[in-house]
Amino acid sequence: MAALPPGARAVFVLHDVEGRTHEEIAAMLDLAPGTSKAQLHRARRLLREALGS
Amino acid sequence: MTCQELDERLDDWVDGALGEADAREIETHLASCALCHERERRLRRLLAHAAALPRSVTPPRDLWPDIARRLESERPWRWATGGWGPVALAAAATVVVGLVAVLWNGRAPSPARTVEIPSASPEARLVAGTTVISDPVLAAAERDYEAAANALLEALQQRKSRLQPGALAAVESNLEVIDRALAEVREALVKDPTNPELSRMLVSTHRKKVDVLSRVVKLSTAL
Repeated sequence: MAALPPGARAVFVLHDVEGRTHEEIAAMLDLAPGTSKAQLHRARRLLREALGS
Repeated sequence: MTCQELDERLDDWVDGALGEADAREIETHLASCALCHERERRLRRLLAHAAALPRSVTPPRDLWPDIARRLESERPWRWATGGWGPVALAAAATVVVGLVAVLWNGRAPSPARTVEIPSASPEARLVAGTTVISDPVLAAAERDYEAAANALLEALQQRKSRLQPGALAAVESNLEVIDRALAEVREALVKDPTNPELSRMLVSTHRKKVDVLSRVVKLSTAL
């Protein structure tokens, strides 16, 4: 997780660990909700690849 | 549906954010594609790992209602430093500090300690804590929270001219109390690094700091 880009890491922690919604994350980090979703998708894809099969 | 299309929608599907028709398409594809089924399995495993990380616990008292009440009743902010808001916040942080002592020493709770609220500038809080957390997952989580808090502090700095001086001083004082609680939890974790309650408390206190900051920034933007 530490290897993720900072933006993707922050969104992943807030969404998948903390259980916040994209709307809440967008308000907290001053992002558009679509950007929060895109960052989450990126974080999950990178982590899936890192976890391997 | 192609495998690429499924990959683009897989997050929404596991989050339950797709409509019925789209969900059916995903299910049909997954039933016939071993590669995408494996993608789904990895994603669910990842989410299970994330869910198992130390997460926030409900704090003994939410810090926010006191701030919100004052903002609603006294706009523009006239948050006198002698008001009840800061005292209540200090008391809430004191509970955190007191709990650390109990968890660390295994003793019965002692009466709440008095916390002196010092004045501090936002710049002073931009300095990261020097205590080293040995658990790499917890250390990474702490770095994330600190990065978020620092970004919010910078945003608050840019908007501070919109706030009454008393309001800004009160917010800074309350953040100082939270920072003091964080320092105590960190110190306790160094001495008892495997204590899960301390880990949860560290995350919870960080979350509280980010919560307070994000709400103050949001309201300062609205003023």
